[in-house]
Amino acid sequence: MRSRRRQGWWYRISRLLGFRIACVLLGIVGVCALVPQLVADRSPSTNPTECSLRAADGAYQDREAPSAAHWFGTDAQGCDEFSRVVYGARTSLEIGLGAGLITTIGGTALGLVAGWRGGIIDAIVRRLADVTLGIPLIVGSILLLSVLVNGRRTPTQIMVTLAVQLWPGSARIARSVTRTITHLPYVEAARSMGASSTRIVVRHVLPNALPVVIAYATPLIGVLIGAEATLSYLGIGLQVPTVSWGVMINDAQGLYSRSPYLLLFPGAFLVAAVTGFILLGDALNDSLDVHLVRA
Amino acid sequence: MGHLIGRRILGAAATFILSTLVVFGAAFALPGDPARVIAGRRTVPEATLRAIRIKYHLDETLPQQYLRWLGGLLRGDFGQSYASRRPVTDILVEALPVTAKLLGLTLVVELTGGAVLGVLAAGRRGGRFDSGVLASCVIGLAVPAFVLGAVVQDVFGVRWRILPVAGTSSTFAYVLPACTLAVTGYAVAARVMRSQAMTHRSEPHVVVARAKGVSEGAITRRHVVRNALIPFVTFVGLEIGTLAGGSIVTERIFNLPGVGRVVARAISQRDNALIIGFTMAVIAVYLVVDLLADLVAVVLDPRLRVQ
Repeated sequence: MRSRRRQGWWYRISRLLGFRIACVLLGIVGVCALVPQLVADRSPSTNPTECSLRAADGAYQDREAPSAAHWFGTDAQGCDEFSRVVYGARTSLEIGLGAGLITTIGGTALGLVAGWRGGIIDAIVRRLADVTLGIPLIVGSILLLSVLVNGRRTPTQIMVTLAVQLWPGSARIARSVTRTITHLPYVEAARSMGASSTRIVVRHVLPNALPVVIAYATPLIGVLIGAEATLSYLGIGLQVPTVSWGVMINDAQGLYSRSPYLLLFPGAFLVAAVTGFILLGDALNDSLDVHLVRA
Repeated sequence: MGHLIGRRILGAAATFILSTLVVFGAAFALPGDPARVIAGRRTVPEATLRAIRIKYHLDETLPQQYLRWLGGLLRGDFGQSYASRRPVTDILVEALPVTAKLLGLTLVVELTGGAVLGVLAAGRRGGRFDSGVLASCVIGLAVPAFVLGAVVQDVFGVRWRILPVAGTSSTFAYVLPACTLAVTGYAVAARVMRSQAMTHRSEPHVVVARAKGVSEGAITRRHVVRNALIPFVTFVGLEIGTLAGGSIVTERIFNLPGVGRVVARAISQRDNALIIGFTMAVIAVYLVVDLLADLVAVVLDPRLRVQ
């Protein structure tokens, strides 16, 4: 019994250094995103949108360097940078996880159908994937967000914009697994015993495709978080007063020579979140059974 | 082989036509009045709107508009900028030399860096050097250009004064932007090269070569690198599109007067005609480069000719 457990997935993954680092990084970002009040309360200024241009003595103040009162300093509006960075975690994770979920479910479904039915449906899905891959993520997002969206852009619009461009990856994986599996003897056996298509897909194809799809989707979440920040930086993503790392970095751009901390703190959290997802994805790839995919 | 090349070219053409449909659908066919967008935020009389509609052929049916637009694209006419009223093609072509120089230098940096470090890491699998390269890849993927760019600008340009911070005064001015833009591509390239080299290291012909006493250096040069370079060519094809997107960020940070900066300005001016033209140009360039990469791969690897 013990020896079997030693070969288990958890045993393999928990020994990887990358996995441990990922746990720490994502743990920090995750706590900030789930209970920002709790984290921000440790610092003297708690509310990210409650900003004061006047200091305690009533004098007007400018950006402040990090101090005991403001751990990460204050920005040009006198807002506390620490609580803004903490609250920004939620925006980033929301968009990363939301868009990741939409694109993975959609892509997997398309890939399953294409691989299972084959023929014309398969041809259409593959051609659509080619078209989608031909438009670079940032270029396509600029096109969609600037042409389609008038007025304020919501997080949902950013999520959908990113998701509709990234589905080919998981579709390709799901299709490849489906095509490999349908020729295996046990699927043949299930079919000859009268199992329906739905049953075969749900019982045999999906469980085999899932680990691979998850290992692919995890670093993708990091990519999505980075993409949101890039779009916000270019002024095409989220906007003030939404608290987001990309928006904060965009604001800090021209102030770098005098107040580098305004760029470095949100930048560091952004890098930590993306690194966490990349390392977690690598660890999943190394520890899960991914032999069924020959893309 | 001629048959195969013909099929690839047809496939690329079909993808191009489909992407024009997608872009046209996204840009022109959706609710909203383009005439009002061209007119801007001002309130304009109905007669002016009608004149705009006639001038930009918005009074025609959608299929007519699409065919007119597609015909223009094929003749190299990417429409007219809403903001400056000049042809989009002229604006993009004027800015192209700066971007071409930036992307060329970026490709050289990321491909040589990625290939060399990837192969060396594969040869020392599990060692300290290998772990270092892998860590640099993770960091390269995770640090966004707009954070890295600001930091290198400050360190190399302002504090140490080694390299120009911005502008295009000399070729040296391109070094910081190119290195900033190259970091992500380097990370992907090094990972591709490392895993490819590792796969080829354990192939039977390499084992035989080693058994008959060929030196490790010769094995790497003759058997591993040459095989690993084939998927690398495909990577270059994909990378062009990504770099076109990345140049928008990099040129903004380093204030380079290239295509990326033109697009960044178009975003703030809501110049949709220029954004659409740029998108189609990127798609066209990507498809051509990808096609060339595919053909080069076929020439390099006879196995790909059998299908």
